[in-house]
Amino acid sequence: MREFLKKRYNLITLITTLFLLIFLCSDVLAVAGVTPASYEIKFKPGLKQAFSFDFFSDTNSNFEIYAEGDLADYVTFDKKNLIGGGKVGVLLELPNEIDPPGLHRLLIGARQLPDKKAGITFASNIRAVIKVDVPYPGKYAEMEFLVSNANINEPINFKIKITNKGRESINTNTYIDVFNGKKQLETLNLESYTLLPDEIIELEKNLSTENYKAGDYLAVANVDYEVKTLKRESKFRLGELRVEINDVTRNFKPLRINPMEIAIESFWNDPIDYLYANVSILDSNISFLTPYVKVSPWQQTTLVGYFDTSTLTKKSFKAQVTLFYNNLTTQKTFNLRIVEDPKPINYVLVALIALIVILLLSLVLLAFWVSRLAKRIQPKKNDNKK
Amino acid sequence: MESENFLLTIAVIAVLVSAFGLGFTYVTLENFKQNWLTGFVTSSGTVNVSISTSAAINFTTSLVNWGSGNVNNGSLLAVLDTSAGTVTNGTWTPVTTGFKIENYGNVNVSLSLKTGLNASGFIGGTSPLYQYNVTNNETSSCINSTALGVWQDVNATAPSGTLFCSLFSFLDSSDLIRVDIKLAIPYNSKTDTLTDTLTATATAL
Repeated sequence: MREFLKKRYNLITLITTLFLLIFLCSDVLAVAGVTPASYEIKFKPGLKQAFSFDFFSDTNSNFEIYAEGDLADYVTFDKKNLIGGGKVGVLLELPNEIDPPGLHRLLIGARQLPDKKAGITFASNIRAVIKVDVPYPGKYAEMEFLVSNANINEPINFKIKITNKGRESINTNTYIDVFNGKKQLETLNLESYTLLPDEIIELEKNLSTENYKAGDYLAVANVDYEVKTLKRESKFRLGELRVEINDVTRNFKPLRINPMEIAIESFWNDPIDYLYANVSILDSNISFLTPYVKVSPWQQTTLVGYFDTSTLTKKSFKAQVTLFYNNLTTQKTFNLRIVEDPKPINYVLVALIALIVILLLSLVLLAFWVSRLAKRIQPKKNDNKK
Repeated sequence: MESENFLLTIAVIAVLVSAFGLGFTYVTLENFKQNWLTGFVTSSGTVNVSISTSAAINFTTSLVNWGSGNVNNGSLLAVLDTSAGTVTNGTWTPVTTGFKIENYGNVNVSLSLKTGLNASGFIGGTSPLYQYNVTNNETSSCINSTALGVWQDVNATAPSGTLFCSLFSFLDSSDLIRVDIKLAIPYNSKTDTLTDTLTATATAL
């Protein structure tokens, strides 16, 4: 009988635990969302278009559907409330004119109506977007400009994207000015086009770099579309197969193994797969290698090698650092020095000196006290003699 | 004699059924070979997959409740703080979990926080405090925010409250923030059950 009761008790405990777990979990995890997250349309006068949004939630909360934004007045819903989630049909009826032109964001939201519980309750408010692109009156264009880096004697690729966001067609005249510092090197002319409203065109042009030196340059793209000239600047780099040694660790501790950091910078537009450094301490037989590293295009990184200063007799010495990569070398010599460790404080000696000082002070005080005492006794003796 | 005719009829029916079965099997196998066998070589194939965008948030705590309690006798103010998980000068039960909000969708969103009430409306009394503090629970979750890691008074007035994340990332390793709550309850505060709502507004970018 006792065994039966024990088993029954265990079963009740298990069921209670599972119930509590399920009950508690229902209050600690909830998802609310909408799909699709956005639509994007081009404005047309009097446009009438239907959209569908699927709001979802794993709670059975009430959600209030609403629109927000300057185009909210042009929206009607097929339902105003949701329980848990569901599809919402949105009918957008645009007017004949929208001002100002540009991108308008119409927000379609589902706002959770919170349960009234003691404490602070969390509620979600999920909003999808209908993006309405309103064309600009007259002629209006926007542009993007992309430039790639390259190595010397390789072409530099320019990409220009022009979008006609106006209500009228535009005739474009596109050219790219190339600068080295403030000096203009050349102008590249691209094809001229006529773009209808909403039309997008992508232009490409390669710059031959045969007469260019490695270094940093500036490209300025110009799109002239009758009423305005758009300008965009972008820097680009022409690489050469060269890795520079920017700096090394200068100070080292005596009589121990020291790390030496070597800061390097690649000026090559491709990765260098295998690069390492050899360091020779001049006027000694010390030399060491660093582990090899892979260097990304234009990367600044640090190599680390280790050497022992036990056999170095001079405080100042020179080190020759040589980088090895792609059958090339870069060499640089640096002045280095041994820096003594600050001497540790001898606490025993300090304590001994302090003790001696205290003893001396005590003796002085004692002597002073004895002399004063002697002076007091002397007059009394004289009085007695009298 | 009758039984022999009966047997003959049965035999003819059996032959007819067998012939029909043979034909059916042949046609089925041909069909199977041409359309069903996976190893059969076809000239070309097209796979179309359409993936919809989704803006969603997941909140791992939906209620912060310190239970019932009071300010200690002789104290002017009790402080309840979910980030420290403490209750100072009060008898409430400490709460150690703030609200955790995860970008659960596949697009970046912006995130704003708004409460239903401010400190005086929620708590009442002399110099009450009702603040929240948003922190990245995963690095770089909330980008372009100037108000991270700072306790500030709740915003109960603006339409969507305070914009905390102009970009709340959906990338798996950086899509989680935490919102902690701090209350300072004065000795002469309201004495009823206090209730408020913290609304997180996630807007697709």
